[in-house]
Amino acid sequence: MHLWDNGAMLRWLLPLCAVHVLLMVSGCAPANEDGDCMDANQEAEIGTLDTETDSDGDGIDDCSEIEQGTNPTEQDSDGDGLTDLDELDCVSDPLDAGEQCYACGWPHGDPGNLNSRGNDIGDTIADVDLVDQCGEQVPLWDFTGKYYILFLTAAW
Amino acid sequence: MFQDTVGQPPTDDDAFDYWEDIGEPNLPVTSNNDQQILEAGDYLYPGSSMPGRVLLSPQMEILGKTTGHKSDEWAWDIVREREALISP
Repeated sequence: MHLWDNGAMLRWLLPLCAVHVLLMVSGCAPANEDGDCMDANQEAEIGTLDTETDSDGDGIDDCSEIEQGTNPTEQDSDGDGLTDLDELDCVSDPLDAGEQCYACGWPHGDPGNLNSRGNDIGDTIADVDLVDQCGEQVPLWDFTGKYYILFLTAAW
Repeated sequence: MFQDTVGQPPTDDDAFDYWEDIGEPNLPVTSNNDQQILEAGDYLYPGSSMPGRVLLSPQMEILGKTTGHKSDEWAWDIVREREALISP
């Protein structure tokens, strides 16, 4: 009997099709060993580990890092010597190497698109350069986000 | 702080020294070496006495000013009124 005999061909093809259909119905999904938001293929594509929810061990899980834009394969995304988690804790931008945690612990405010217009009530105050008790330069606008009473005084 | 102990513009060290002098409070104590804070807060009008005080909103808007030693109730009144207007 030749393999290409129609009857024989059908006998070979039908089981093969059945197996193929079974595979499709079972939905052979890619692995996701760590159970996070990405399967193994997606993690391989970006360089993270499918066996760890926090591939770089910086204290922020991979999915959160992707969501906020930090690098899930680097503990220090901006290379400024502070881990991404350190910067988030002290409210410093983990993607800006020029911005680091203040020694005194002040958070870095986000002035957005502020423009100083004058010094009357209703105006936006100018962004004055200050030096704090920890010896660091802190622009006044870094204190955005809270109400403040400025005490203008002398040391005597 | 816009002046040091002898009436000159403050240095970086003056912020730390003053912070120690007033009991090391857990708030920003700063020196403004170029004294721009005087113009920024409009602390130049005749008859003003120390300390000058400027109330700033979270967006750095000047909400109120006063001078002299008094309680901060004037500032809290402004904040309460503003928050009542802003809150939904």
